[in-house]
Amino acid sequence: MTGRRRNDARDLHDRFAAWLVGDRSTPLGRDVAVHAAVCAACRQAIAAVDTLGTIDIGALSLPEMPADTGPAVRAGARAGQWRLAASAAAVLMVATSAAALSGGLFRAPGADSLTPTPDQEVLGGAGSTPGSMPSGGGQASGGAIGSGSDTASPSTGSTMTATGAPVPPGSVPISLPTATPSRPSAGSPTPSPAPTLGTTPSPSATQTSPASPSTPATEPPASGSADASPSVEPSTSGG
Amino acid sequence: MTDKRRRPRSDVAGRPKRNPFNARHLARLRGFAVLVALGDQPAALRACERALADGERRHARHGLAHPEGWLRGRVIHHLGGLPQPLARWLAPSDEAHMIERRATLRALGASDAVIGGLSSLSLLDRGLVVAHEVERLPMEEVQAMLGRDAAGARRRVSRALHGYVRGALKLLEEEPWARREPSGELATRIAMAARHYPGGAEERSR
Repeated sequence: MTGRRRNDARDLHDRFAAWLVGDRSTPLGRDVAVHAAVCAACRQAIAAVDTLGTIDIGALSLPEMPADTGPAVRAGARAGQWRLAASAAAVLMVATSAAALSGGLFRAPGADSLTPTPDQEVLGGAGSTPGSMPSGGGQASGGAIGSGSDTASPSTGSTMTATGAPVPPGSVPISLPTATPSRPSAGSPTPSPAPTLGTTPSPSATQTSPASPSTPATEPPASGSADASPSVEPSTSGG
Repeated sequence: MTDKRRRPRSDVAGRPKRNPFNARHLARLRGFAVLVALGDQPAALRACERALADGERRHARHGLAHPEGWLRGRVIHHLGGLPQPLARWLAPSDEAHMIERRATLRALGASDAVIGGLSSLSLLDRGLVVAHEVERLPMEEVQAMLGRDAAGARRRVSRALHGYVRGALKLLEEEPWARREPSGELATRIAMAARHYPGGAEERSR
């Protein structure tokens, strides 16, 4: 019985809602009107529609529009276009700077294989196994050799350039263009001797460090030596 | 030549001269645009100007059978020139701007429930609700606004109104005046219909 009354109420409710949003010029059924008069939800719906009728569309005092609408329209369109263009430019700038910061835009092709691992960054390239990073390890060892020839062992005669050519003893110390392991990777791709250099850091370091045990404290102020000095440390500790 | 074009046309008193077409439609179209733009006056005025310029041209060339509906359709077209998410992103969204928009709508007589209900609609649906319920435009004008036949326009208006009621009901519960006896035109009409029902009094006392 209660369920039936509920269904009737539901039916009245739906009928009233259909009438409210539909063609209201048609007469409302009296049973539906009675339901709408007592149903809280229906009364609120009536209030929602009734309040629309209280809006006075001409009540607002707005600024006068220019009579000649042509230039005003064009100015408005121009303003909108400028605004849109400025937004697009801002988006483009943000995207470009984000790409540049992430290093994806200006990186040389194939440079990913040359970037050192974090432990190599810490150890200055000495922590790398020879087989894992052939060219990067070669460059790092080249930097270490350069600093070694600069400070410790000019007389050993075992210094080599990055290209693998032996340096005659007593020559001017060679400043290698790259000292940190990450820099040379993109700028100067190492040729085939680089893997052979990568295999030789520990012998050269072991040769240079015993030659002058007092020199490690006197590090040259060059940036290359600062980066190269950590690479010597493991070999000295090992030797 | 250029100076001639840019020189504002003015009447004898020096006030800008307005052509009869604009003068006839301007005031109500402006209110319509402000309501549909949810109080964003600069955007509403821009859309209104463009619609009037379109209407003037169209009226001069072909004539307009239903200018009210046609102009409102153009206002909605110009308000929706950009995709809605982009337009929303470009529009200033600071607190002061929102307060100003709300104040503009309140000056028109829109309560929070009305603002909530209109905000929940799309641009076109909002325009339909305002044109049909606020301005009480005849159905022919609404058809011209939509460019549809009578049945299609009626369906669309019903759907828009349904969405408005659903959006407004969420806020109506918080408004104290809504708990009182409804006293609008529609409520009076329904109360009259219920009073004449033989079992009306009994039903109400139950």
